[in-house]
Amino acid sequence: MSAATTIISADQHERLRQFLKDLWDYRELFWTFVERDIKVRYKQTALGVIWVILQPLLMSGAFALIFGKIARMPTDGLPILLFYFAATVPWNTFAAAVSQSAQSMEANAGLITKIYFPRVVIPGAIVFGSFLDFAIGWTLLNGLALWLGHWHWQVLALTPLLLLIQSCAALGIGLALGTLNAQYRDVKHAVPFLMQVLMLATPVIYPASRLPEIVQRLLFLNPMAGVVTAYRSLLETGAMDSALVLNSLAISIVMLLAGLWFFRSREAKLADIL
Amino acid sequence: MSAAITITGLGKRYRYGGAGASGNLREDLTAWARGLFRRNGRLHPTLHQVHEQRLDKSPECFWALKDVNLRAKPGEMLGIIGPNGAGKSTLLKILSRITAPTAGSLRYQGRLTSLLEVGTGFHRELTGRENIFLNGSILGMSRAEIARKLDAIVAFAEIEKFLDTPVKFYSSGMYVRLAFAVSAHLEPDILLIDEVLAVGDLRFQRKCMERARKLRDGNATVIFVSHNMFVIKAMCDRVVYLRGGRVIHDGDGATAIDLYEKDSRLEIATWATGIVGTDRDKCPLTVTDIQLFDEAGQPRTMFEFGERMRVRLAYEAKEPVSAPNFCIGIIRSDNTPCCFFSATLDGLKIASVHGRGVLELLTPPLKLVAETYTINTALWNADFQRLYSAQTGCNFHVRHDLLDTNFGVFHEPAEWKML
Repeated sequence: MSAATTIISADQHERLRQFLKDLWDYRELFWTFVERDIKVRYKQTALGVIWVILQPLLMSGAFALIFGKIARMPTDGLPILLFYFAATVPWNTFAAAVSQSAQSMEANAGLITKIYFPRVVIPGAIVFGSFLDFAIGWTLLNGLALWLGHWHWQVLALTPLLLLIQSCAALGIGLALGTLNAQYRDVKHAVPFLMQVLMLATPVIYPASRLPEIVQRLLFLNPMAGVVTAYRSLLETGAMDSALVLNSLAISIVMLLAGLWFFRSREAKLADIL
Repeated sequence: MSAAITITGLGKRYRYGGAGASGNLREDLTAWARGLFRRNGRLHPTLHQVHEQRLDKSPECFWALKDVNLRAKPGEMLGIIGPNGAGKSTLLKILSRITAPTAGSLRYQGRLTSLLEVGTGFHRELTGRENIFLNGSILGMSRAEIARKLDAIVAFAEIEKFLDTPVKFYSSGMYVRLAFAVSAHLEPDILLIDEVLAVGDLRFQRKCMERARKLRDGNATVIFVSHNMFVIKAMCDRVVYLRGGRVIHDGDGATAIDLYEKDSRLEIATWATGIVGTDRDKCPLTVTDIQLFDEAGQPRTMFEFGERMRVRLAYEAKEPVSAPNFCIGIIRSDNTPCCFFSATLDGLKIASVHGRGVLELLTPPLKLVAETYTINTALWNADFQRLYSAQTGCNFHVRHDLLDTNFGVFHEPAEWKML
C-alpha cells in the first residue's frame, strides 16, 4: 500500500476504481472494527455474553406464553418454545445489525470528519460482528432442538445460506438508513418503529402458513420472512422450500446492491453533512 | 524528480448552510431526482450541463477552491497560508480524502497522514494496547507493522505499566502522549499539518514540528497550514498563498508572507463584522494606515524585550465623529489577547474628528515575551457604547534570549532577598 498511487478525482469511473482498491487496502481496518465493536459491546455490561443468551430466550418465552399458551397461535407442528426461538434468534441479530448500522455514520462522525477510509467498513463490521451473537443463539437453538427431538442435520448445512440472506438484507437496509440518518436525524427516531413494523411483516410471532395465499406472496418480498420460515421448516421436516429461499436470496442481494448504490452516491458528502 | 503530489484543476463547490443537504426533504427529493439525470450524464449531457450551470450561478453556492494546480516533490516542505476562508482547510480536507472535489483531480504517491488526527478513534473502554492497534489501523498501519512497533510506541508514550488498563482511567497527559506516540510512529510519505486544529500546547506543537522536520529529512513531503508566519518562514521551502479559493502565489516564502500581510492588513476584524459589516469604506471612522517605530522614530517591526514602541495611526472620519476613543489591542500569534490601550482611558480627550488625521501612541516598555504579535485597532465612542470600526493591523516581533511563551505572557522583574 505504501508505494501505490492514490487518485482522487471528480470523475465517477476514477472514483469506482479507487473505491475497489481502497476496500482491499483497508481490509485490516474491517477486522479491527469488528474487534472493537465486539469488545466494547461486552466490556460495558456486567452480564456480558449472558445477555446474548438471555435476550432471545426471554423474548421467545414471553411469545410462547402470550401467543402460544394464551392466544393459542398454531405453530406448524413445532414445540411452542422452539417455534418462537427459531424466529427470535435470526430476527434479533438482524434487527440489532440494522439499527446499529442505521446510527453508525452519526456514531462515528468523529472519525468520518477527520480521516479517510471506505465508510462502508463501519456498517460492514457491524453486520459481521452480529455473527457472534447469532452463533451463540444458534448454538442454543440447536441444543433446544436436539433436546426436544426436532433436530435435522440440514439445519447445519443450510444455515450459512440463510445467514448470507440475513446479512445482505441487514447491510442493504442499514447502509441506506445510515446514510439518510447522516442527513436527516429524524431517521434514528423512526428506526425503532420501523423495526417493529418489520417484525410484524416477518412471521416471528405467527406462522406464515396461516396467511392467505395473496398475503403470503407479499410477505415473502421481505427476505427475513423467507429466512424465518426456512429455519422453522428445517427444524420440522429437515427440508425447506428452495424456491422461496432462492427468492429471498435474490431480493436480499437486490437490497444490498441498492443500499450500496445509495450509500456510494452519498459517501463523498458524508463528512460535509455530518 | 517525480512529484509526490500533483493537483490538477482542483475545485470544490459548497452550498451555504450545509453542503448538498438543504435539510428540506421536498427540495432534497427534487435534487435527488435531478441526481438521477446527472448519473445518466453521458446520455443526457445537456441536462447535466444545465444543472451544473444552474448551480454555478445559484447564490446558494460558492467555490471554496477553484482551479488549483499544485505540485509538491518528495523532501519538500510546503507552507500554505491565506486569510480565513481562503480554502486552506478545504484543500487539506480534499488531500486527506475526507471530502471529495467537485472538479479536477489529485494524485499522490504513497501513504498520506495528517497530524490533526492525533487520538482519532480512541475508545475509552478499550485498553492502551487495544487502542494502539485501533488507532494505528485507522491511521493506515497494518497490524503486523503495529505489532512490530508496539514496544517503541509504549516506551515513547511512557505508559508501560498501564498498557492493559482502559484508557478511560488514563490522565489526560497519558492520553495525549499515547495518541501522539501512535502517530509519531507512522512513516508517511506525505504529512499534512493543520496548525489551527492541532490544539495541543506549545510544547506539543514543537514536538510536531520536530517530527515534521525529521520526516522531511527522510524524503517525505510535508504540507503545512499555519497562521504563524514565524513558523512558516522558519520551516517551509516553498509557500503557497491562497485567497478566495485560488492560488495567488506559489514560490518563495518572503513574497507570500508579504502578500498575506498586505491583504489582511486593516481588514475588518472577524469579531466585528456582525456589528460594522465587512466593508471598511462604509464605516464612519476607520484607520487608513498603521506604522510602527521605535522610540527614536525609526520604522521597525522587530523589538527587543523592554523597548518602547510608537504606533502611528492614520484615520479618516467620513462624517464628524465626536469624542472618538482610539484603542489598540496586542494579540499574540496564538490568539491570546495580551494588552489593550485606550486613548480615553489613558486621558486623551478628543473633542471631535472629521476628515483625515494622524495619531501617535507611545507604549510603555514592552514586557511581552519573545513571540510574534498583531496590533488590532478598535475605534469606539468615549463610553464604549458604539463601535465605529475594528481592524486587524500589523505584526511585530519581540526578541528575548530566554523568555518565550513557555514562561508566560509577560515578564516583570521582581524583588528578591534572602531571609
